[in-house]
Parts: sequence; C-alpha cells; structure tokens
Amino acid sequence: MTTHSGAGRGLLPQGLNERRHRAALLGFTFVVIAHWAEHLAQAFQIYALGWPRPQAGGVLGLWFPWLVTSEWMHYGYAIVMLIGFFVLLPGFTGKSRTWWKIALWIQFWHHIEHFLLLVQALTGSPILGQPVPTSILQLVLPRVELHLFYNAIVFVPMVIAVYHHMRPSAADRAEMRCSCAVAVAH
Amino acid sequence: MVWLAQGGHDHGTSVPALLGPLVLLVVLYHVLPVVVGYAVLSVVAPAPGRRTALAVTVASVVAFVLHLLLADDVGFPPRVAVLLLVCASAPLVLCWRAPESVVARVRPFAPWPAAGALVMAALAWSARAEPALATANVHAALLCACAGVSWLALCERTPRWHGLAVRVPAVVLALLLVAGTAHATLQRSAVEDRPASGANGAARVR
Repeated sequence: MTTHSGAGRGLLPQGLNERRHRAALLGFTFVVIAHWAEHLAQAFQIYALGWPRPQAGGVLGLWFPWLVTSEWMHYGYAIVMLIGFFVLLPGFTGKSRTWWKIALWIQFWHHIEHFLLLVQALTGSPILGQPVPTSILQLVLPRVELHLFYNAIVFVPMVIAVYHHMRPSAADRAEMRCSCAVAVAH
Repeated sequence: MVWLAQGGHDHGTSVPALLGPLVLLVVLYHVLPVVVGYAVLSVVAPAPGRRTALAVTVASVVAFVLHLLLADDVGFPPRVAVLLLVCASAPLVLCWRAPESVVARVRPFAPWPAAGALVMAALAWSARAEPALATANVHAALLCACAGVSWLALCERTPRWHGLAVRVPAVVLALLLVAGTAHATLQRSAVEDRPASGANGAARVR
C-alpha cells in the first residue's frame, strides 16, 4: 500500500491519517463540540437567563471555576486544538483539505490571541493599560462574544471539511487513504 | 502572587508568581535592534530577499505588540491600535504566504504606507499634550513607526531621487524608534520609582 504524503511519518502514530483517521477525527470532533457547547451554555446563561458575567461559567465551570478563570487552561486548549488540526491535516484531500486548512489558520490566530492573554497574565502587563488581560480583538468586541465568535468561525469550516471528507468527490476519494473513505463506499 | 484583578468575565492565571513586565522589556530590547538595524541599513543595502523581509516584518510586529503591552495609553481609541496592527501585519502575511507575483505587485506601493506611518508617528510625537499624556504620544508614535518599518521591508531600492522616498523615511523611523523607546523606558522607570499611592497603585500588580 502506498503511503499518503505526511501520513504515519515522524512523530505521528503509524496509521493515524490512514486506518485510524476516522477514530482520531471523531475524538477530536467530540472535544471541539464539547468546548463549543460550553461556550454556547455560557452565552445562554448571560443572554437567556440573565446571569451576571462573572457567574456565567458554562456547565463544567460551575463546578470547576478554574476552567473558566485559568489562562493556562485556555491556552492549553487552544494549542491542543491547533496541534489536532495540524496532525489530522494529512488525512484530508481535495475540497475537504481546503476547508480544514481554513479552520486551521483561524485557529492559529485564535491561539495567538490566547498566547497574548497568557503573556499578559504572566507579566501583569495588560494591553494598553486595561485592568485585566485583554486580547487584540477584545479591544473591539467583549470577551464572551468574541470567543464565541472565534469558536464559531473555527467550527463552521471544520464541519464543512468533515462533511466533504465523509462524502468526497470521485477525485478526492481516489486520493484518500483513511478509513473514512471506506465508510462512504457504496 | 497571583493576578488579582478579576472584574467581570475576566481570566487570571493560576501560576504562583508573576514574571513581571521586565520580561517584555528584555524581549523588546532583543527585537528592536533587528527593526532599527534594518531601517538604518536600508539606506545603503539592496532590497532584502523574502526571508530577510519576513524576519524584519515579524520583528516589527512583535515590537508593535510589545509596545502595546508596555503602554498604559496611546492617546487614541484602542480600535485604532487594532487597525494599525492590521496595517503592520499585512507585509508579514504577504512575505510569508503570498505568491511572488502578488508581492511584486504590492512592492511599488509599499513606500506609501511607510511614509504615511512616518507622518502619523511624527504627528503623534509632536502632538500637544499634558505631561501625563506625553508618554502616551510617544507610544503612539512607536506603534506607527513599527508599522512603517514593516512596510519598508517590502520597498524596492530605486536609484537616485526616487530612492530617497524609501531611504529618508527609513532613517527617520529608525531614529524615532530608538529615541522613542529610550524615552518611554525612562518615563516608565520614573513612574515605577515613585511610591505607589491610593487605589491605583494597588490595583495593578507589577
């Protein structure tokens, strides 16, 4: 069997972007949706339930407040997600690869924003003398809404990529080496 | 010591110690020579290759962000700072990802944003302000200067008079960056040496 470019190379587990791609993708998607659901829950608490913003901690944040307040946790999640996008990229082909790359680049910027927040928290130097760590686009939009927006614009191209990956064109299917292609075979 | 200010939906860090803004200054003093050095050398050196231009634009954008972090105020609305950052980052994105044909099309126009940034920097620096806001004006000028050098990295080195449109702004931007950073650092030191008083002194943990 020929190896698709980048699949099973270097530090990546053997077959991650071949026979294990479907499982890895499902696991990654579960984590992303769970995180996305937390942000939606937080927005629901603020806008529908009228909770004060400091109390709107999503679902898990109500039991584990550090999940919301720790800049380390947010940066850690952003970098894990970025690594996930990079690691799973070789398994995508054609149109799905283009959409996956769009999600990857948006997540790259999202990660930069969290890195800046972490730097501000660690150095005690918030941007432009703001009272608390503030990301670049937070100078334009409030934090909850901004990160809800970020997660949305990462999630949408990711879903489109997965859709095209599961239902590839004949040309894209011919290039695929992962188990996802088998799942859509008629 | 932990980050204490957590009003609204704001995040903090659970690390046991703050590194302090000194780290930012150390990084700035490593990045700034790249930016200033390039600007000065661009008077005599030929137009840089893609990698050199990328390095200069990255250094300029990093210096820009560091000045944003170190400044308490820049005298204009924060949204303008976001626009300036977009302007400073555009050459970086072009050098990093754009096809050579696109970069070649942009190059003839690159002196314009560089010159515009220089004018904005000069205006910001010379704007009349109370002594308390003078440092904010210097920081605003520094942000504009970083954006200007970022665009200089894309400029061609045409000979004779046309070349002055690149070389003169380059030298002025370099001088402005060195003088401005020195001024802002000294002002910062003077403020930090004063004993903290009242709620403002206690609110920002440095």
